[in-house]
Amino acid sequence: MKPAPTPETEEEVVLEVRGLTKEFVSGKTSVLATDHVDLEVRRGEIVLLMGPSGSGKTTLLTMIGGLLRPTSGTIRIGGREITSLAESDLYEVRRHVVGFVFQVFNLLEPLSVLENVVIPLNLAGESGKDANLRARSALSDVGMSERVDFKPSSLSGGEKQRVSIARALVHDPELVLADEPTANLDSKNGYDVVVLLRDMAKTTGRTVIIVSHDHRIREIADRVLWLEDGKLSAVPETQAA
Amino acid sequence: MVPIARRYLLFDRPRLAIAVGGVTFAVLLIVLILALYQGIYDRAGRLADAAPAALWVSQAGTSDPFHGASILPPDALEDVTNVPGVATTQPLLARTLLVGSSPNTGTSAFVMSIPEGPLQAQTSDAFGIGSPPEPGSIVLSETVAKDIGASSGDTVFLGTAPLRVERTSSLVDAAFSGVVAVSERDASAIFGHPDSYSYILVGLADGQVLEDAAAEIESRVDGTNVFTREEFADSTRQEIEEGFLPIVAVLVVVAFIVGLALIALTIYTMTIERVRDYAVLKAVGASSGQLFSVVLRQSLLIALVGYLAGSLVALLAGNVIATEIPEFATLYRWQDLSAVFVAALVMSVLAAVVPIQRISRVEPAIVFRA
Repeated sequence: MKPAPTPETEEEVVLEVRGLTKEFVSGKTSVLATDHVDLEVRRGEIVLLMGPSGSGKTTLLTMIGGLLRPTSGTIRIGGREITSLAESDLYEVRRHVVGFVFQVFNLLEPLSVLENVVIPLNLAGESGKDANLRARSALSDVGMSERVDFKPSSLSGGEKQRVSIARALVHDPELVLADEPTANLDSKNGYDVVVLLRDMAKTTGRTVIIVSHDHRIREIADRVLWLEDGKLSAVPETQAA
Repeated sequence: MVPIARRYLLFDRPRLAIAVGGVTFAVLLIVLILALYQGIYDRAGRLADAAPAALWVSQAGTSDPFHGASILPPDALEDVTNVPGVATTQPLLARTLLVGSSPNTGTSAFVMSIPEGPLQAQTSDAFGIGSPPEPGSIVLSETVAKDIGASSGDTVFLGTAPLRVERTSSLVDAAFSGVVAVSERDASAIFGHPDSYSYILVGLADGQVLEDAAAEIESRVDGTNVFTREEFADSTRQEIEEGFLPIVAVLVVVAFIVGLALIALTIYTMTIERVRDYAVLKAVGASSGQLFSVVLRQSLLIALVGYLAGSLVALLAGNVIATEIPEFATLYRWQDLSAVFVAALVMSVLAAVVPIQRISRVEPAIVFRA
C-alpha cells in the first residue's frame, strides 16, 4: 500500500511537533482542540490525519502552517522553531516553507489562473518572466497549462483544486498541508486529485500532511494517524479499512 | 507583479463607477468653487489696477469702488491738484446701478464716466472705454450686453434714465458685474451730485514717495481717503476674501467630506466582502504591509481617476460658464489644482485607514473554514 521511505529520508525529520496544545477560551468556556500532541514527519512522507469532526485536525494543520499560534508546545519545520517567531517572520515561513491546499480551493476570483499561481512568488519578491515561467510550469505539472488565462469561476471543481495544488507547490515548499482536498469534489475528480498529490510528493520528495475523511487517501499515505479529543493516536480498529 | 488592487477594483465595475463618480463630483465641486472664487478675486482688483495713476482719492470711509458710493467734497479736485508733488489729476464718476431693458430692472453694472481732464483719453483707454460716449448714449461691456440682451442702437435704462447703446466694448469687468460708460453730463444727472466727483486719479511728480504723497493729500483735503493703486485693488480683494472665503471654505470642506465618504465606503465594503481573500493572501505569504498596500492602492486609484475626471469636467464647465454666464469669471490656477490633488491624496489615505485596520485583524486561519 505505501512505499517504504528511503534510508536517507528516514534520517531527516522535516516536521517535529512537541507537546502542542491549543485551548480556545470563550468567556467561561474553554475547549482543548489539541492536547499535548507529539508528531514527527520525515522528508518525502505522506501522512494522513483522520479523526471525527471537531477533533482538532484542522486546528493542528493551521498551527503547523503558522496561521494559528498554539497555547503551548513547539513546532519545528526543517529544524527551525516557528512557534516563537514574530508575525513579521511567520510570513517568511508561509512564503518559503509551507504550501496550502484548501477544501474550498480559495482561489482569488478576480485573478486569472496564472495570476493565482504566480501570487505566492510575487509576495516572496519574485516577479516578471521568471515567476511567470515557474507558475506556468507548476500549472503544467497539474495538467492545467491550457487554462492559464481562465478565471476561476469558469473552472470545474477538480480544475480549481488542481490550480490550488499548483499554487501550493509553485514556491517549492518543504511541507504541503492539505485540508480535506477531495471533500468538495466528485468521485472521479477526488481520485484524480489524490493521485496528483501522491505523484507530486513522490517525484519531488516533498512532505505532505493531509487532513481528510476520504478513505481513498489511505492508499497513498505512508502513515495514517488518528486525532480524537485533541489527542493523537493510532487508527482505532473500528476505523481501520 | 500581479496588479491585485487594480484587478479587484475592475472586478466590481458598478461599485468602482460609483466611487469614481463620487470623487469626480467632489473634485469638480472643489475645483469649480475655487476657480469661481479666484475668478472673482482676480477680477475684483482689475479696475483699480488698470487706472493710469499712482493714487486713488475717494470719499473718506470708502473702502472700495463697489460697496457704497464715493462722493467727494465739491472742491476736492482743486484741493488735490494744489497739493505739492501732485503732477496730474483726473476726476472720475462711478457707482453701481441697475441697467436693463426697462426702468429699474436688469443687472447691476458699475457705471463710469471719465470727465474732461489731463488723463481722460489715457484713462478711457485703460478701462477699455475708448472715446467717451456722447450725451444720451451708453457703452456696454460685452458682459452686460450679453446679460441684458442689448446691442448697438437699442435703448436701455440706467435706473430710470433711457440711453441709447452706442456700442459694446471690452471694458474691464468689475468684481461681480459688468461695466458701462456714460457721458459726464448723464452721470452727473443720474448720480444726483452734479458738483462732485466720485474719485480722483492722481499722478505724482518724479521722486515722490507714494505713501508720503497719499498722507499729504489726506491731511490737506478734508473728507478723503487716499489709496495707492495696489492698496485700492487689495482693499477690493479683501472685501471678496472677507465676504466669500468662509462660504468657499465650507463648500470645499463639504465636498471633501462627500468624496472621502464615498471612497471610504467603497473601499470598506470591498474589503469586508473580500476578507477571506485577504486571509488567503496572508496564508500564501503576504505581509501586513503588502495587504495594506493593496487597500491603499485601490483607494489611490479611485482618487486619482476621480481627480483627473473631476478636474477635466471642471475645466470644461468653466468654459461653459464663461460663455453662458459671463458675470461669473473662472480662473484656474495650478496652485489650486495642485492643492486639490493633494486633498484627493489625503482623501484616499484617510479612506484606507479603517479598511486597513480591519485587515490587520484578519485571522488567516479562516481560510480553512469551508
